[in-house]
Amino acid sequence: MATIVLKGIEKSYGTVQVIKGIDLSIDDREFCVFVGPSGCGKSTLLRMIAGLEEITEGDLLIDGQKVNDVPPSERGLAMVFQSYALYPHMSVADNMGFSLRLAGVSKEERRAKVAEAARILHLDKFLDRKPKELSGGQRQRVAIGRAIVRKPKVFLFDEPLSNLDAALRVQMRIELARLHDELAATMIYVTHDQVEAMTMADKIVVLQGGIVEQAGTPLELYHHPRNLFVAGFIGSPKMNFLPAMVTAVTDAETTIQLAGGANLAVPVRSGRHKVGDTVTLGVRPEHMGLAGEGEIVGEVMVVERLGGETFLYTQLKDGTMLTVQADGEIPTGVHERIAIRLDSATCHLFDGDGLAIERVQRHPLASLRRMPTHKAS
Amino acid sequence: MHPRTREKIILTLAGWLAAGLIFFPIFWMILTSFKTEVEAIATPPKLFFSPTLENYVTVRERADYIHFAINSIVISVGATLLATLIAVPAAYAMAFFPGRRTKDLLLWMLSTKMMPAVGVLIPIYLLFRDAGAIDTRWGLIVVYTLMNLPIVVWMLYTFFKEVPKDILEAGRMDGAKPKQEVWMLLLPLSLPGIASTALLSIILCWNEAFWSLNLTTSEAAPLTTFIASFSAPEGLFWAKLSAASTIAIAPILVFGWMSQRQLVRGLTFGAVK
Repeated sequence: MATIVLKGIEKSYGTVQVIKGIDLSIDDREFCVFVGPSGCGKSTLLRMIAGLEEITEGDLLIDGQKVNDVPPSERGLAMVFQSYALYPHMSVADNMGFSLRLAGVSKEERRAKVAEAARILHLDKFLDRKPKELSGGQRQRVAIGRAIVRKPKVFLFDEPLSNLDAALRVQMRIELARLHDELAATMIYVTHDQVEAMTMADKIVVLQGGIVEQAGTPLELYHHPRNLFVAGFIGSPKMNFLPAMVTAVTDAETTIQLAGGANLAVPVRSGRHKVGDTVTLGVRPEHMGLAGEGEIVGEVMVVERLGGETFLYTQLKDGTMLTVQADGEIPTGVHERIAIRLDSATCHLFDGDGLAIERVQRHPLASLRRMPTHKAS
Repeated sequence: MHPRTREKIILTLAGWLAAGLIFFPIFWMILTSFKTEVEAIATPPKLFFSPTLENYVTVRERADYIHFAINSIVISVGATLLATLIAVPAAYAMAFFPGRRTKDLLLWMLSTKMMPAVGVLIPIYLLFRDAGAIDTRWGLIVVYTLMNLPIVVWMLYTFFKEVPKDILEAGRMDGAKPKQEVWMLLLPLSLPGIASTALLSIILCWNEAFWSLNLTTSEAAPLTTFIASFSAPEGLFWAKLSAASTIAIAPILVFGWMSQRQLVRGLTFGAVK
C-alpha cells in the first residue's frame, strides 16, 4: 500500500517561488505522470517527494504519514534519475546491491535479491560489468534494477528515457508499463514528452509555472482539457486554435462564427458566455477532414507524409495556420487549395480567459484507466 | 609552409624555451655541485671541467642528511594528510550544499594566501614559543597545514564539482549517510583529483623555507634548513651549497617526475577531463 497526498505544497528559492501550492493525491498502485514544458517545476516536485529538496510550505503525506522531515531513504521510495546516476566505480551487481549493503543485509541475501531483479530486467549476463561497459538501454535497466532491489513502496522516475534513442525509448516504455503491472507499485514519472504521458499514465498531471493545470486520465485530458494550455499540450500534432465570435446560445449548443465567416454549432453547455463574446475554437488535426467544398478554405503550405497519415499545414484566408490530418493516400500537394470539414461534436470552445466551456456530453472513455483496477492481492 | 605547421613549430620552440629557462637554474645547480669551489665562482663560468664528488663528501661529513630528510618527509606528508582530512568535508559541503556566501568564503580563503607570511611571523612565533611548538615537527605540520589549507580546499572543491550531483543523490536515496556518501562514493570518484591535490601539497611543504627557517633549529629542521646551514657567515660556498641543494631536492624531483601526469591534472585544476 502506498498513497501519496500533497497538501498545498510550495517551494521557494529565496524570493523565487517555483512551486506555487499544489494539491494532489496519488492512489495506491497508480502510474502517475507529471508532464509539462521545461521549467514548469515537475522535476522539483518529484525531488520534493523524494526528499532531495526541502518543502518550503505544505504537507507531504505517504500512507497518511507526514514525511516532510523524513530523510529520503526512510520514505520507502526509490528513484531513477535521468542521467541514470550509476556508481561508475562499482559493478552492476554492486550498483544494484548498494542500498542493501548500506542497510546491512547479508551477502547471500543481497546476491539473491540482485539476481532476482537482474532476472526481471534481463541483466543476468552483465552483473560483473562496470556501467561504462554497458549500452544506454542497459544502464537504464541497471538504474531501474537498483530501484527494484529496494522493494520500495513508490518508484520515482525523473525523465528516465530522455537519453535513449527513439526505438529504445518505445521498447523501454513498454517494459516500464509491464514492470508496473508486475511489481504492482505506485509510480510517479516525470517527462516532458506527452506521448510517454499518454501511453503510460493512469493519471496525468499537467504542470505549468509551478501550478497544476489539470490532473486526470489521459483520455480525460485529451477529450476534456480544462484550458487552452492543456488542450495545446496534450495531443500531437497540437490542437488548432481559431478565433471566433458567439452568435447564438442554446442549452444544447453554441453557435459561433469564425473569423473567416464560417458558422459552426458546438455542443457545449450554456451559462458562462453570451452572444457577442470572443471565444477560441479548438479542434484537433485528427478531427478534421477534407471536404469537396466548404466554408473553411485554405492553401496548403507544407505537406508531411508519414505513410499511414499525412499532415497538411494549411493557411486560411485570414492568415491563420491550421494543421489538418488526412489519409496517407491523398495526393494533395503544396500550394493546392483545400476545403476543410470540421466535426462539431469533437470541437472545443474556450472563453476569453482561456478556460474550456464544458461540453454537453462527457466522452464515454474519459474515465477509462490504462488498465483495469488491480485486484487487491 | 602551411600556416598551421608553422604555428605548431613556433609553439613547440616557445615551449622548449620556457622549459629550458625554468629548468636552467636546476641544471646549473647540479652542475655546480660537481665543481670545486674555485671553479664554481670562476668568470666566465665553466661548462666543461673535471667533475668531483668532494662537495658531497663534505656535505655528508658536516650534517646528518638523513635526519633532515626524515623531518621533511614526516612534516610534508603529515601536513598534507591533516590538510586533506580537514579540506574534504569543507569542500564537500561547499561543492554540494553551497550557501549564498560560499563563493565569497572561497575567495576569502584564497585571499589569505595574498598576505606575506612575514606579516604574521611575530604573532605566530610568540604563540609557538608559549605553546612549546618551536623546533617541533608537529609545530611545522600545523603551520604547513594552515598554509596549504586554502589551496587544498579550493582544488578539492573544483574536483568535487566535477562529480555529478545525481550520483550522490542516488546514494542518499539508497540510504547513504553523509559520511558514507563521502567515503563510498565521492572519494573513490574523485581519487585522481585528491591524489594530485596531495602531490601538490607535498611539494609545497617540501620546498617551504620561510617558516621552517624561523621556527626550527635542529630537532625538527627539514631539508630547507639543511640547505641554509651551508651559507656560512664566512661567505657562500657555492659548490657545497649546490651539492646540499641537489640532494635536498632530489627526492621530491624524482617523486614529481614519477607523478607528473597527476600533477599536470592537478595544476590545471581539473579543467582537462
